[in-house]
Amino acid sequence: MATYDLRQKTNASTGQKVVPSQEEIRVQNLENKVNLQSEKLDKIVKLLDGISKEKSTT
Amino acid sequence: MATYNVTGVGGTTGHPSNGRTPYLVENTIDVSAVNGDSGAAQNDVLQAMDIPAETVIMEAGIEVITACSSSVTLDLGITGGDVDIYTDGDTNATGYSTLTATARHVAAAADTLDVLVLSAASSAGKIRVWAIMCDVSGINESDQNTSTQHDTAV
Repeated sequence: MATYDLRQKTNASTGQKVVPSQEEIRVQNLENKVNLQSEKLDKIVKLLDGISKEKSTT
Repeated sequence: MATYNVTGVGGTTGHPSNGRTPYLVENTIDVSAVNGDSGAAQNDVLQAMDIPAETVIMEAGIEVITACSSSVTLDLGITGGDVDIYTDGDTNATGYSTLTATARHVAAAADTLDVLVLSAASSAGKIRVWAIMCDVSGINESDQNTSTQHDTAV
């Protein structure tokens, strides 16, 4: 008799996973979208800053 | 015999919806890939998942995705405790194991939920172990559970 630890991912197991509820998945998706929008806004702000600096030097 | 109401504040308003909730944990195990692809020997223990301390396993079972070798039966439970508390001698036909009627397990200390391979060795089979767990640890156990903290005589 042997004992095999399969709690983590191995070639014989996916590893234990907590299955999220539908609500948690929705919240996670929403969080991802907000993060994406936030990154886009950061880029726009950087571009505007660049334009503003260019104008001030000219 | 007397009945004392020590349920505290709240009365009949019910429990809040934002209280602790049970959660589902699963682990899919390829029995044929255990022990360097040799498979599991008879009486081998497959540790499937962690049980955190002060957690009740409300229900747990095995879904046989691919049948194990002929004659193999499967138990699901606590090694060193009740080894077949959730599944007892499942005949490893594809589908969900029959749930036992035994009282559910509360892990006072951290433990593991294990599959026990019985009756024969298995060089085949894929199973999904699932469990619905809930944290039942108390809050304010040390500073609230004294008589001086209570304000209603019963």
